[in-house]
Amino acid sequence: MQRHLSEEQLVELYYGDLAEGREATAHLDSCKACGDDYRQLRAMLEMVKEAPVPERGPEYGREVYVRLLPMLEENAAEEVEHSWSVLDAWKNFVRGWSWTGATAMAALLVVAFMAGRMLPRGGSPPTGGDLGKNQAPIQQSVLLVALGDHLDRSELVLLEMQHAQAIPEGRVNSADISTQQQYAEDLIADNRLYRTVAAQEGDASTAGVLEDLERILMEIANSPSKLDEKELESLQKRIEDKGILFKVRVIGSAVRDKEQSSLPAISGGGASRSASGRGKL
Amino acid sequence: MEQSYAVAVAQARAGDPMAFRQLVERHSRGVFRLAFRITGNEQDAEDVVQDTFLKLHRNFEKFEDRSALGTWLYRIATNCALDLIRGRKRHLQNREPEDEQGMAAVDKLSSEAPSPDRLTLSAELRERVAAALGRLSPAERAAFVLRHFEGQGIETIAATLGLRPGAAKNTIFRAVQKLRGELEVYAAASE
Repeated sequence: MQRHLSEEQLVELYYGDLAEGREATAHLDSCKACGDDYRQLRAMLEMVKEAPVPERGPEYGREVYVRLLPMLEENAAEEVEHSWSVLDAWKNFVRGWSWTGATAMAALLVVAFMAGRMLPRGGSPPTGGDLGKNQAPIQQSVLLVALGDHLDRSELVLLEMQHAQAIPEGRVNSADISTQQQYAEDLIADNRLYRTVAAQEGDASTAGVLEDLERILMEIANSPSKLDEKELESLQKRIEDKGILFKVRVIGSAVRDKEQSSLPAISGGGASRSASGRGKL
Repeated sequence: MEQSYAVAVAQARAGDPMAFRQLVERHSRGVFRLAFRITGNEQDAEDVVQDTFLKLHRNFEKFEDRSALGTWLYRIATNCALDLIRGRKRHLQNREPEDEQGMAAVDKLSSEAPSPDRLTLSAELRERVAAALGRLSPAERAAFVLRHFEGQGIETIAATLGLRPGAAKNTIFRAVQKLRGELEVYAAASE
């Protein structure tokens, strides 16, 4: 290659798109002007490559999913409106997108369970962490999905409370927690149902965590919607002292593991379903 | 493609929420990085991540197995980011006050003559890189990000942006030219 390389060719060479790449590289070795030009271009592009991106931790994907849940519910609700019948609703629910329905159906399952009709207990009391062990697979999966969803939402409220900050408002600093309060209020009734089931099943550890969670949710729901700096710190300290966020995560993780192992019963694709487990992705 | 991943994609497409969740968990960080590089703003990038997965959820049935989900997802994310910055730009054009010299605030950074000692400050270099990227047109920025940071090929970029391959190539070239015009002096100084 005798002629000098154009700027466009230099850019193509940098990205490996230049058809005559070998000849061009040889030309750069023998032509100082083109060589210098290419080095400057490369230095600039490498500098741009170093432009930092804010870090997102390993839990980020999960946080995104938790934030998406309410909107997925809306999607599901719209879908259900289009094809509303008891059968369709049930199918949608089992398929899983009907997250709004999930909580309601879980409540129905809980009620049925409490009546002793749908979820019969085994001969001996289950051990800790064995919520739903003796239940029929689909019912168990449905309950676990709904409980997992509930724990995700609870975690989000606790996280938001933990990161809430008092900002200047007039002469004092205050934090508006009205949104978190609304979420907490929505969660309390469901939490009570799940706690009752866990206690009935003899799963004392899950029931204990749900009891602690319920207290915190009630405290958040019943606090003033605007907290001054001291009130906010005090509430955050109580949440921290109970270690409730950690406990909710531990229980949530156990529930998700159970969801994974119970899913083949729903999809009918046992081997492939278990192969798609979280840890393997 | 790992078999387990392919299975998760198929199940998510069939409406399995746990599989969808796996995809969100797997791709969120990548989508965030892409969105941040195109929008240049953390909060905007978060919005793009959210919009991207919502659109994926709504339109999953349109996804064809023969293409890679990652590529399709990045296409959605790129277009969400473009929509957002185009909307933001229109908004700013109506609002951004200009100073006495008639320069918008964002243009001031690159027009101030740099002194060599200041150039060694990596924070300042970062600001200048961000400002230079911010002055690219939305399409130039998206095309450049996809080529430079994501390593995508011309054909894929063209399909993502709805351009012919020649136009995509030219868009990337224009972006590099503009960046070079603004940043080469700093790159040379920092060498």
